[in-house]
Amino acid sequence: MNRIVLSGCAALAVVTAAPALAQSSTGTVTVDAFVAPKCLFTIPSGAINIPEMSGADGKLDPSTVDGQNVTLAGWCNGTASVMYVNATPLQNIGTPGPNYDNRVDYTATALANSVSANDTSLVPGPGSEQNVGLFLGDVQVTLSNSSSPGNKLLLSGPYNATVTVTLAPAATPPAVED
Amino acid sequence: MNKILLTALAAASALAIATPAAAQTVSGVVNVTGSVADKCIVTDDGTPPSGDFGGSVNLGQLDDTDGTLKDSSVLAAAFSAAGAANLTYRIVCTTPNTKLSVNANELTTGATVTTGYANTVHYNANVQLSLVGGNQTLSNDTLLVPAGAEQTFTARLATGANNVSVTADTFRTPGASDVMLAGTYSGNIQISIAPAN
Repeated sequence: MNRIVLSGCAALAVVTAAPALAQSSTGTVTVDAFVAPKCLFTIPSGAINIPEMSGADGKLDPSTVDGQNVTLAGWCNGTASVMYVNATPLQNIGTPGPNYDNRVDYTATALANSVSANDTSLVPGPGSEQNVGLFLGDVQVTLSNSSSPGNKLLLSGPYNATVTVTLAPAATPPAVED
Repeated sequence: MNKILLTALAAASALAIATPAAAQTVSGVVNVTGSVADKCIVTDDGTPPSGDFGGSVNLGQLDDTDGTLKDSSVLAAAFSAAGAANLTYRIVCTTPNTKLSVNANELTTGATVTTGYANTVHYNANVQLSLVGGNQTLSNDTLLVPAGAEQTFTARLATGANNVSVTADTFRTPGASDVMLAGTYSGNIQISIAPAN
């Protein structure tokens, strides 16, 4: 009898690869920047003109100086901002002699953001710093407490003074006036 | 004589004729199947601060000499100056379509804002895809509500060079004359690229 030998059946093999889940890619671009603390005067100067400082007796009439004011404007963008004032005496260049004064002293006060900083011209150098913080608006400068050294007759002629208001982004040592 | 004949017959009968078996093959079949998942793979990731791809942009000083925000064109150029290493990427997706999502978040600082000041900078982010057949751009502005933009493009991402790039423009503060609050500002642009069929 013929024998037909069947060789082993080839095994049917099915190989599959299970599909993976859909996969997206995410990206991030970070953006960084800065703004440095600073201050700026948008109206940086003004003038106070006192036509006549002496009274009928020839001596200083304080009412002609006290209350005089001018408004500057500016801003500071940081909460640590400070303001200080440096006032120089109203000075006439003439030689007064023993019976005259050629100088008028006063106090200058700057008001910004409801904070006041002042300086007296009697003491060289600026007054103390005040924390004015973050503000944007007027800086009003007002004169007060005027006096002459000997309460003498005032020498005639022009008298000049400078009130410097400084806004700084952070506390700094005040410069000493020469 | 009979004897001889028998021998012949015996000899004859002793002959066994073996007929060869018929030729026969068998065959088997191996079925092989495989798949490629819907996926997007990053092959050039830029310099990502997080996620799969991305970069970092430092705009430097935001404010102008008067304290307001610098001109938008200046800031847009500063953004692009971050360079290809931060703003271009290469993504490979296996699907015929490409889904893009962009969500731009404004630059902010932690300082509390007051009238006349700004602690926020808004801008418009643009993500351009190089697709088979041409470029397409999806933009998202930080002021848009709801946040984020999404679009599915009926084309594959082009192969070869980097095919995703980012730009930004229309930088502005809430009020045009706002003075910038001091501080460090940060924001980000979130991008998602997904396979789509």
